[in-house]
Amino acid sequence: MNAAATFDSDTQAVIDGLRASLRRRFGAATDVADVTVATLGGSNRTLLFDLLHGSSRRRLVLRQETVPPDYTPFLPPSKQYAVLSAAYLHGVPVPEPIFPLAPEDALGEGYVVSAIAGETLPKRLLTDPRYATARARYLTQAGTILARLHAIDLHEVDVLADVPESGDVIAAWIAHYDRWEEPHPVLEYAFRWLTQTRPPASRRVLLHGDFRNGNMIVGEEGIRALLDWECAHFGDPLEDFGWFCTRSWRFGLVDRPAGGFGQRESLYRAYEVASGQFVDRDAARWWEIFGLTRWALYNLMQIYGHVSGRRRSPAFAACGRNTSLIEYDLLMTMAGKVD
Amino acid sequence: MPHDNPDVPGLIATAREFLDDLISRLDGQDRYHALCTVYLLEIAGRELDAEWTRRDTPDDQRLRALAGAASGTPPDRVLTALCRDIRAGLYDARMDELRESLTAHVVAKVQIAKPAVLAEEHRDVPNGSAGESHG
Repeated sequence: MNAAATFDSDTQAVIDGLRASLRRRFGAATDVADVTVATLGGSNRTLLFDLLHGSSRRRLVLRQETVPPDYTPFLPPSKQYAVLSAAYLHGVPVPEPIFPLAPEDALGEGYVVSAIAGETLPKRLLTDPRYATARARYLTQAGTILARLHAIDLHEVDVLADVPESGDVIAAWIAHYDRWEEPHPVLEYAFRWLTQTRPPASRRVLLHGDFRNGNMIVGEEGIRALLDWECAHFGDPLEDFGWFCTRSWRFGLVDRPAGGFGQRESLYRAYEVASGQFVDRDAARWWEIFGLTRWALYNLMQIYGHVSGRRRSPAFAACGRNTSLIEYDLLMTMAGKVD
Repeated sequence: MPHDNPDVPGLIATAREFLDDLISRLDGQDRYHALCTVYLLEIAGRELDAEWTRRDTPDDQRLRALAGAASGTPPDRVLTALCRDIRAGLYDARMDELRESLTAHVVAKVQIAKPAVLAEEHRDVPNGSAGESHG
């Protein structure tokens, strides 16, 4: 099949550049085949392709940054790649890092990793009978994966030391919020409450930062890989738990706080067994409030991109009006009316 | 009426931009009906704009009262002042009361954005403000 016939000129240029970058690294006998443009994510172009080399063939993924991140808090691809590589080295299930893009590739910022087959759609993972076994194992696996990630020595990922969220995480988010120029009394209230009631930090670890249902590739047997490292930073391990259990990430199964899969205890206990570290249940709830606040803020970020004209889309406009839905969940949770 | 962005003209403009882009790829009856839809959206936008910008809603009044702002203060100025004062700690002594007032404010926003997600206690209450009237 000739790929040239099926892609717009932009995509074809990327494929040509990718072929050249692969030949530069793996030799002139290398080629690209079976390219698919995945419709994942809001700020990246994701291409799946086969790397042909002699008689061998391997499915890989190119992640390429497409939006200048002048108003988002996301890590640049070079830092994502560094963290992904450390995670891979320590046996966290992630796609195998192959290479980061270099200036001579002329493809901008990005990287190439191995492709992993499986499902990521949260609703399907929560309801499709095919994933019954994976569902039963999910929270134990998730807790074990977090334990392994949180044990990585911070010196190995020192590219994250200067990330704002690695400092005072509340102050970092107030600074992002101020940049997005939309006054929200509910978020001011949440910041104030979070500041007044903040639990003492336990440990300082490498956080995934976006650890939730939807960011893991799952097969029928269970979790295969943890994706999307653009929010990684240093902080309290409970931040990853709070985000995972945030009401928004239960995908409608609100009586199963742990990602729609089950109860919080299953996740906490799996982590405790794997890490030997105690999970402070009360403090973890504080991080769920923090998580709801942070999710509302990501929606503000999207609407700022839209209203300021940097990146217009009906989806981002919808994010703007959906902010109120998250604020509602936030206030109802803080009032103790929902769990 | 301090809803979140996009405001009413912004919502209409977003839908219009998408339709304009789509129309360039349509023909025949689909193209004609899409052009009519743009026309309908523009009418709806002008009508909403004319009504809402002149209206002093219960939520506007609630936020003004909460912020201690004078009658007639524009809603965006009220929001900005309220945010500044919460951050400065002026509501620290009455955080629960603040949360209650802000819940009514958010309910008024959700009643427009997606009323189906509201809890029983917040449904069928005009503008999230039982007992309040305006005029």
